[in-house]
Amino acid sequence: MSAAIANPTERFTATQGVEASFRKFLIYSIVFHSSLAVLIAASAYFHWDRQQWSGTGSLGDAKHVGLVSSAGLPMLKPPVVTPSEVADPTKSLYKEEPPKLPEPKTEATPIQKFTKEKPLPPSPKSKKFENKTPPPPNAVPGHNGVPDIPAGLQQSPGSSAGGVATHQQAGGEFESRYPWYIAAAKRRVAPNWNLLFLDPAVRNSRTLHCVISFTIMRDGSVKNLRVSETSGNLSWDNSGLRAIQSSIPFAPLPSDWTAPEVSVLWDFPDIENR
Amino acid sequence: MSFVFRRFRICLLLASLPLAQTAFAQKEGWFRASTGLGEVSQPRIAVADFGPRADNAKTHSAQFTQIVRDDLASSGILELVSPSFYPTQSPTQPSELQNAVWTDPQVNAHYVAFGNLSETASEVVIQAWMYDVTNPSAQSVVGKIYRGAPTDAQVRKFAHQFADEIINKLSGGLPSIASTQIAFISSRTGSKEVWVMDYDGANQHPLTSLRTISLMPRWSPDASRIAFTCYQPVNRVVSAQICMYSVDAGKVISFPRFPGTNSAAAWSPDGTQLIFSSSMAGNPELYVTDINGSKPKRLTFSTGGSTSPTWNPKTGQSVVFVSDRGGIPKLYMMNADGTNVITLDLPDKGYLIDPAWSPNGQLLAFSWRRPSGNYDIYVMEPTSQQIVELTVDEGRNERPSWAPDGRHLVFESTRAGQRQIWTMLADGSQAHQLTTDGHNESPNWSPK
Repeated sequence: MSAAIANPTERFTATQGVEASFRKFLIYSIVFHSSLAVLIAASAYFHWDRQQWSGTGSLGDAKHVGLVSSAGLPMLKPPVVTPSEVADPTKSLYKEEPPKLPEPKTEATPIQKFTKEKPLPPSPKSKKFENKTPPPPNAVPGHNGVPDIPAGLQQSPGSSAGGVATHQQAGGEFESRYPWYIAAAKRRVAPNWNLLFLDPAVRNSRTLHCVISFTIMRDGSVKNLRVSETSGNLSWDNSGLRAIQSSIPFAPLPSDWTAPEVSVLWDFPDIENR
Repeated sequence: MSFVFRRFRICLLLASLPLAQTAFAQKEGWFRASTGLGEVSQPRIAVADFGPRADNAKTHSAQFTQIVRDDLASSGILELVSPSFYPTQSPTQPSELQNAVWTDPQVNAHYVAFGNLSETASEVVIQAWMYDVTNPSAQSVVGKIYRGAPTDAQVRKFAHQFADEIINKLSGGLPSIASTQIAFISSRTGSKEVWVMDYDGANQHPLTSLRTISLMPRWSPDASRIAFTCYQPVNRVVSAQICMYSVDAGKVISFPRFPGTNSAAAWSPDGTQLIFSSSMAGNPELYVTDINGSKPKRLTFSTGGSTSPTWNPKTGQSVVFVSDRGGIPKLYMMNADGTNVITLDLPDKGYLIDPAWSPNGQLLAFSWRRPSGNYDIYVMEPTSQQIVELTVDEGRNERPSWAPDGRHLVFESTRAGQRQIWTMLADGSQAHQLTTDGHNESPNWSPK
């Protein structure tokens, strides 16, 4: 370059020639260098992108590792087994014996619960009216039946079909106000009366009949569950008790019923089927 | 004579005592009912078209009516009277209800649900009643007013709540499922994620987007969390781990990771413990831990793997699980502390998998591949060992899960081609397909 400047006239054409070729060379150089710079920038940018993609949080890490090991179906791959695994079976055999000791204790508690749930001493209330107001056919004396029947109609102890009607007249305020509740309770109990658990000798009986009495509390829980009129067969009585037991809790009492509870008598089976 | 008279007076006195108690009993209230030997007929209920108070309420009142009808028809305890028999004029309030029209033999309804709907730009108000039309003196069973945003989703919620109210009252105390949800696994986005939907298949949306494999979702008893199996790295090795989704927080929360393959989490009925299957000791065995996953305690010690535990929800005392310690996968029952393992014997050979206790703790649903056929859903009473087959010759049916009312089951079936989620009544009837998009499996019904 400095040589071209030193001798201007003579080398004008030569310089021009040199300049021309130099210019071409310069242009090529600039183009090449700029494209190279663009490439570098682009690769740097691309490289940045990839780093961001893979470097963000643990999710990226998982993806990385996932790509590597998913081909190996980790589910089937057994984990590393250390020699101590061999010792485990003997340890376990040793362990198995002590846990057996608490077993009788855990079995004992359900039995205790059962006896607690049995309403052996009837509450004073039940003595007052449960025995007397719904006239159980067992009670032969007429005066027990008389108060319930305002007209003084004498009902023979056996025909409780008539008894149902009189109950409606006598104490059935709940029954007349909430027939839907009673229908719903019947629908609740019916599938729980499991005849399969009856003693095979009486399973197909058409004459056995028992009456279960209990009280439904405001929240649907039940108290004083007992056999009010026995069928004479323990298996049949127990099936009735179990049917009510399995239906607990009943639906909560209707909100506009002011009393805290309602007493119930339940026939197994329907009186009409006798 | 006077002596007799005196005795008679004494008798009268004695007789009057029970009279006083009768009056007392009347105040207390009582009723007499019975259970017959025959089948109990289902009550018939009609759902009249809910009346829109203005034109802008028409779509929502039609939507409300239809959802209530669908909920009641699928409840399994009510018979919905077909709308084609309804009288032309629908009552929109109690004064318009005419009992005779509905108890007419053509309609023969015992209960009628009716009401009206009014809508503004900011609020929808629904007045809904359910009346007993067979008892003119004691009519009203349900009377509710619902107020909320005038959106489809809100009207749907109110319809489910009203159906719940009716089912609660008419079933005599059984829980109703109209507002429950089903969690399941769907691969429609490309990876298996945990999804959730309403019990009738509406409102399907994903809960997780972990982009790994998620399996076996299980609701906690208070429906606040879902435990599931997902693949996470442990010491740079990806393995199956127990993962926890918090419904309250709306995201996956942390849970300890254990070596080996960890899956099939099952909750205790009080929600304080989890049993899961883990191969941390080499062989898949059952371990119990608390809800924070601390200090898992081993419960099973045998050759062969143990998995798919299910905890008795009523007693919390026994756990049924699947083990192949006898050669092929069979059902075993043990105490919740791992003692007293017994085999649940069945009359035929075959693979027994996916046991699920019913909410009353008396029935066990499971999937059984008998030598003659493919996988079908069965229900067994463990005490009497009686079994009932619910699905017959309709694709491959697996992974049953009970609804909280103990009357419905949700399961996965290939009867429609791809694996999809289906529901049915616990007697095998009324099978409905809930999902259609992609591959859907492993359903679990929410407890409330």
